[in-house]
Amino acid sequence: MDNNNKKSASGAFAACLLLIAAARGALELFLYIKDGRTSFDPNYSMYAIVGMGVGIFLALVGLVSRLRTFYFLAYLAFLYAFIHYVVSQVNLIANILYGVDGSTFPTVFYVTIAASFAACLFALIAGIVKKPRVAVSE
Amino acid sequence: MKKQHSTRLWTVLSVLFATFLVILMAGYTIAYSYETLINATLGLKNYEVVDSGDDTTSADYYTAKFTTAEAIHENSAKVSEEVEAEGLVLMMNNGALPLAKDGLKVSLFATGSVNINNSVQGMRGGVGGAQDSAASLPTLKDALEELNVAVNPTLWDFYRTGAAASYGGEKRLNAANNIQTYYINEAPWSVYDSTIRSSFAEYGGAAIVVITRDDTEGADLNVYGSDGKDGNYLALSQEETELLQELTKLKASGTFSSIIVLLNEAPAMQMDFLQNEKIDVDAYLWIGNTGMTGIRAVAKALVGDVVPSGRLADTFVYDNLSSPAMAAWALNTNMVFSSAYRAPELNNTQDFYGVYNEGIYVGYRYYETRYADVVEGAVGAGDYAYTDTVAFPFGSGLSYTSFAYSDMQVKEAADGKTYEVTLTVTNTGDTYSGKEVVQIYLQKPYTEYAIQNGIEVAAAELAGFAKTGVLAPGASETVTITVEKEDFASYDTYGAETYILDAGDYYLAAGKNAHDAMNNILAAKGFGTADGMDADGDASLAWMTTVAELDTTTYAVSSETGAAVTNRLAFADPNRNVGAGSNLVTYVSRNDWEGTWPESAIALTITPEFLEELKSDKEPESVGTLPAMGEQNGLTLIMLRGKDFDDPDWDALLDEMTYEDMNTLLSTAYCITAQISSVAKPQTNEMDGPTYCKEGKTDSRFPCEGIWAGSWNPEMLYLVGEALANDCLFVGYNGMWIPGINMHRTPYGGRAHEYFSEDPYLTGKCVQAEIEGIQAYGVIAYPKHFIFNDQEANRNGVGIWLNEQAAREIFLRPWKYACGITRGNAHGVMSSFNRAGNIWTSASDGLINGILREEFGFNGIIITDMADANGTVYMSCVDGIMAGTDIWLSSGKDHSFMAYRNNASVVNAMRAACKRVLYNVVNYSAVMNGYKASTQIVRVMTWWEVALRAALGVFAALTLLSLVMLKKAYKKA
Repeated sequence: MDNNNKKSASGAFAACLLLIAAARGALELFLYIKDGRTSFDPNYSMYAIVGMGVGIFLALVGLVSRLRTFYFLAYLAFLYAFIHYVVSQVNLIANILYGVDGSTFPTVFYVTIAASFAACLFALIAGIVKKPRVAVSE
Repeated sequence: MKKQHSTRLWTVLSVLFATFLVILMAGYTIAYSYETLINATLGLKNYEVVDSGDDTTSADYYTAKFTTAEAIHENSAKVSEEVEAEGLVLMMNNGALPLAKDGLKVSLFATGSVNINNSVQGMRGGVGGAQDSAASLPTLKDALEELNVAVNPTLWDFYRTGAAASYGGEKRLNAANNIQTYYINEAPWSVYDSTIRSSFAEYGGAAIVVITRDDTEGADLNVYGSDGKDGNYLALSQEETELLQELTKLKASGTFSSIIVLLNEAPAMQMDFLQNEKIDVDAYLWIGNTGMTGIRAVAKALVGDVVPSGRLADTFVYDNLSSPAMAAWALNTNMVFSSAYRAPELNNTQDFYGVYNEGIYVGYRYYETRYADVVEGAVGAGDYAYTDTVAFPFGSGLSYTSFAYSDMQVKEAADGKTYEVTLTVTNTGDTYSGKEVVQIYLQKPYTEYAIQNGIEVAAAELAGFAKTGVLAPGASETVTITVEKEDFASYDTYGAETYILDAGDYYLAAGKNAHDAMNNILAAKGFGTADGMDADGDASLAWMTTVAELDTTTYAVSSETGAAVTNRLAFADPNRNVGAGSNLVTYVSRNDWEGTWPESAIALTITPEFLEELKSDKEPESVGTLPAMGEQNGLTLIMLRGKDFDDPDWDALLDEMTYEDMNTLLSTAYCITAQISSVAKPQTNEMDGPTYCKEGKTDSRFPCEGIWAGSWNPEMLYLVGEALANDCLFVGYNGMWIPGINMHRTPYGGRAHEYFSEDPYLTGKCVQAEIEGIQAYGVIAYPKHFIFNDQEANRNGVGIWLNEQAAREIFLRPWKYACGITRGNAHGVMSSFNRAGNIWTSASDGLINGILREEFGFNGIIITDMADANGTVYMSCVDGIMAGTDIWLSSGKDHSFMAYRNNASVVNAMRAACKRVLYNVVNYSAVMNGYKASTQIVRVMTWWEVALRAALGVFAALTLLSLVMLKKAYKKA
């Protein structure tokens, strides 16, 4: 019984983390579509958008199915999206790091990149915390 | 437990391998979008050249003159020193120079003395190669000691490692106004303790003070906010002033025999300290940025082993804000060049603009013209005193000997297109042999027609020059200088809408500098010191001819191509742009200097029409038919070498290219033009400059371009071009984005070290010679930046507003020399970041197709400036291609033509661009060496592509394996 309780607790905790990851992913997707294009990087990265979308979908599937596999798949999708998001902002990053014209990172950049990283991280932790479903013999 | 451990292990491994797999998958996509950049950075080629034929004839179309690193370095060192020797300018000398070498002991002062600006980046301790090799370049101390001159070691160590070591120039963000600011940061006199001061007497042969300034890409010099006087970076700081004052006291007390100041900077320093009675300097030398070995020439000049023969390529004034351009600049917020519309709908590449309010009155054109107006009593001359304004006129410079001019004669050439000015130069000195620069200035008449039609006319314009050979004392040389009659024309925007030859008296005058020539013209007109001239001129050195009637036809066609020359730049002038609304600019006018002088910041407001013009990606309507693509006609690029541009075989070759080929060639030109297998075009490699080859391996670095211009010797420029080309070829490059030929419109432009002069004719003659030297070796020169990129503020998209006369007579004029088909004939051009008006320069049909191609006859390759930096919004492929731009300096990630494959107008423009690229590469690039008709280009995978694919395969396999093992582990559990 204690094991079952522990599993339920960890499962619920993992589900919470995955939900947070999905929310972060949704926030990231929203912000990217809204403000992700800048004068430095005017084109969307479809890879980033697809990654975010797939990640959210897999996270939701994971929440419903409670299968650990989907937790990790969601993490991988968010990771893919995170990488492509960073690359899609490379001109902005280079401009600011090089300090050419005194520009600074806009707030939305910080929020988006934090959301993206958080989605990835939370999904991974959720997958780690989630115990695998094992058939119980009666 | 063991089974749990097993599942946990395989879970971890699965996730780990899958993580790496996802990273590699993302990396794979990203790597291919940056393929050209990666290959260029790693120096890789993704193709092989295969020759299956048996043609054994030589295919070396271009041959390098120097083929080893040692030979290139040695030549570059020699040329660097020679051009510095010919370009440094002795501005003032009361007899202190040359210093007597025997037993000479000197003290070197100021932080610049131990940290000479020899940087090709303009900034000491700059980026990349310039910084890396600075430690290996000779110092001023080294150069003097090589001549057996002893240098005060105590003072040297004081600056290098002692109390003054923490001082010295720097650039950082000024927190108060968020502007990149250059600081002088000179050591205060208080830091010179008794130990240091006690070393002076022993090394009192001369106090040599090195006043150094930096300038660098991306940041204009500061008019305000720095630590120079009144915040002006190009004025002496309090510490520098104090240093000179203290040295003056020490000289008076006998500690130092003389004080020599070396002005070690590219831009023109403000010279108000000359009026400081507490400063008594014996000689000033302008030495620019000295490159790899130029400091040796400086040292030799100090002791007389080099006799200075350079002449200033810019005017040096007491107040750098005295020009009309700087007067307006200083009125802007934060005293920066650009202003902002502050319209919420604009992004930061659209919101900034600058106005060239001075019109044609750049540099000496202003200072000499207003002087002439005062002397001649012109209405509107206003309150102006030349001698209180100008410290050193354009073209001035001294020698250790003296020269006299005589027997000036002017004859019209038989073809009626030029005047030949001959003049005898005699070395009237007793001791030194030297070279003299004879300058010919032109004065056009300022007539009622000009006034009524808004044509501005400078009282003096450089029209020709020649440098003698080395003349021994007493020796003479007769020089012949050709002046083109075409230069007598003025641009008439509002009347004839083309170049005109106004009726009236035209003067040609010889002079040692612009002011000297101006006085000679005024003397020929009957004026003298009684009329306010500061010196009596020599009327025998002036010649006059009269044009009887206004001529609006002779110069209405281009002398290069015969194309009609007419107004094309109304869009760039607020006074003529049809969408400008109430915007109006008062350009400075000779007709009323004071009335047109800027009194407040020039403010423009955004209009709906401006907003429309500022938009990018204006896809044209599809007109015509799509060309053939992907055909198999059996032609390779080398087969077209030597064929006329209009030969029908070019169409057959172009038909072989696919749309993807065209897109790749045009959109991915980051340091290359791509290899195209379908036409067997090899990849070319281009690199940056302009005073060195950026990726060179021979440590070849040259002084700043102002020094080259200061030589007034096109033969030197040819040698510099030759040296740069050979350095470039050695590392496998066959194109260089050089030279910089924007103007020293003001001293505050951030890239002063990369541009020649305030005068377009001198700039033009320099660039023409340099391009000839570069392209003789199969290196395509891409002079830059076309056009109006004369300062750095908000260069990414800043809109430059100016009138067409100034555009043509000043800023575009050097490009005629660089690109004109009968002149420099450059096979490349790099366009600029900025806009003209609201139109990105590379998207301007008037500038590119109109003036550059039609009027100047340029048929080379136009590349954009860095399109992967901050310019992706407005540096639009479709906008540029329709205006005649060819290739994008881009990795291709953010620039692509793929959306336009069904638009016949765009595709045909792309095809025309491809043709220009292919034509210039096959005929003028050394990359074609070794290519014959049987040569093919085969795509191969680079090592990183192989490694990436292998890694993907490995991690895919590992992921799969670990998943399989995980499943097995679960089953067992």
